[in-house]
Amino acid sequence: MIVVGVALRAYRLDEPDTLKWDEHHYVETARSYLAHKYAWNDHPPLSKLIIATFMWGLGDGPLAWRLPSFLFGLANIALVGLLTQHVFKSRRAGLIAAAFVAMDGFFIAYSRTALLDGMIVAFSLASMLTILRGRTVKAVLLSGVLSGCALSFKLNGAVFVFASFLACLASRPLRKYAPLLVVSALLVFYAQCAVALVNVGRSGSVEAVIAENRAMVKNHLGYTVVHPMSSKWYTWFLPTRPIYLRREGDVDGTVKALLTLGNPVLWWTAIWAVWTSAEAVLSGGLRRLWTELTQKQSSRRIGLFWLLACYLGPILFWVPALRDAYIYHYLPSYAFALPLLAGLLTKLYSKRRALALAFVVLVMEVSFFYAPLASELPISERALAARLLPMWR
Amino acid sequence: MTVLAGPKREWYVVIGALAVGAGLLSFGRGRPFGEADRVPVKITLITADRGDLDCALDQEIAGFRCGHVGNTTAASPAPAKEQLLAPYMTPDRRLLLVPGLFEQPALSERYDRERPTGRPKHRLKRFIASCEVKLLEKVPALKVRFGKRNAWGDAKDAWVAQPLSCTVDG
Repeated sequence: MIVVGVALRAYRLDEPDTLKWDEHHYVETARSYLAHKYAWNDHPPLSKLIIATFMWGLGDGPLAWRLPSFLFGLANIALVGLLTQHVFKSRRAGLIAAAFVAMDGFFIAYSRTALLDGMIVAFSLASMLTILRGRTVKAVLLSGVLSGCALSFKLNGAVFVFASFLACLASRPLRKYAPLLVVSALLVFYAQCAVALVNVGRSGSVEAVIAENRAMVKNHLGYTVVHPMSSKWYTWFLPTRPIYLRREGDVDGTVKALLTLGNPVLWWTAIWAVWTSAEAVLSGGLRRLWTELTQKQSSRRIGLFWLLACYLGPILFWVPALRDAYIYHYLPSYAFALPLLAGLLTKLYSKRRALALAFVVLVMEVSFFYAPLASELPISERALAARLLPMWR
Repeated sequence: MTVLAGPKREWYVVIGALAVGAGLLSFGRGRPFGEADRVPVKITLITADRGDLDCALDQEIAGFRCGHVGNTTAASPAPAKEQLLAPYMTPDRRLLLVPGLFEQPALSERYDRERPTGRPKHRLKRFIASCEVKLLEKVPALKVRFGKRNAWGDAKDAWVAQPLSCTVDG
């Protein structure tokens, strides 16, 4: 499944040679950086600096635009696997989680477009993995740098600075270093803003960086236009409004589509896994949970707790609805829900192997069925419609 | 469910599932229209497009040819109007090579209603031709230009489509 998932990510990555969905925001800004011209940023500049680096090395073409997303998409497969293996102390659980991410259309779509959300996922997973596994100050600093990178893609990455900080505070050997985590995250955030400003001939001072980010936040809070593809956070669980990042018909009756739609079986069972895991975590009461969190070095319950926190955090960020939200804001949450599902499935495998295997086979077949919608394989209009609920069309 | 148990059997199940999945991916995507199929297409046009759009291709397809060969030099002898391929776009920006499109009665009539001579292109009203075409062949790579004074550009995956009948909207 992992091999197939990698192939689906790589298939004609350089097509189309025009920009998809919001790619123009990021690629145009990367072009401005290469030309040392100031460009207004809707999000912090790190992603555009990375895209610009690839464009500088490979030329201004579709492969260079999308290669960073592809590479971060591959990293996501490995990182989810490692995080799951760490939490459940099971290589099998890790491999299952990695395979789920590899074959899921939501992750594939974000590995095939020059968009930021797959990159945020990679840094949030890496940050949490580092802090949960770490026992030294180095791990704290690294987790700070990684979560600072997540924050430097989009401001909703702040959730993972906060989550890593809390995990650090909860860890007995690391808690004394917790302020260092925030400091290193903020330093990374400052550094990438300053580099972008200095690159275009402006001041990279702290004041200039604050002014730049204040203007960006003000712009976000001032959004009044509601995009037709935006969706409320509570619709993401169904979901009601996946987005066509590309939909291109050909005269031969085929369509090349790229839809932000996960494997429906994984999507819905992952939510069930979140619910079941929350029950397990809370089963002994909050006091016991608190004691375990602050006293024990590591346990499965603690691991589950942090996966749940990282699932809920990005959703809670959008509950106040300060601006319009989209289905892709659920991608980081989904990345932390799949390990929970893989953990439960591994448990099931030890008791009812055949049932667990049947589930994996079902996931595999459904992934293959939906693969054309995530990897832009030509599909007839009729076959496309057969895959979609009416609200997804 | 016990029939699935056992490590060796599990591998058989997984390999079988992969094979079924590969089948779904290969054959479960529906049949596209292919060569000799008749399909409806919409083409976006202005009357100045008649004689102004060019393609360059070495190949002759079912007796139809571009006005230029692959290196963009004019074809000699020049193809007759009815045999001359020209590049057109659908409203969703798919490229088609259509021979003698403006020789279709509906388009010829539309052309006569708004002759482009002496008028700037932007003053001409854009309209849609709805045609039934016969798909002949997909050309993987060619050169096109959308105006005699414009530069040639590379294009790929363009269907050569013979018009059978057309109506005009607008």
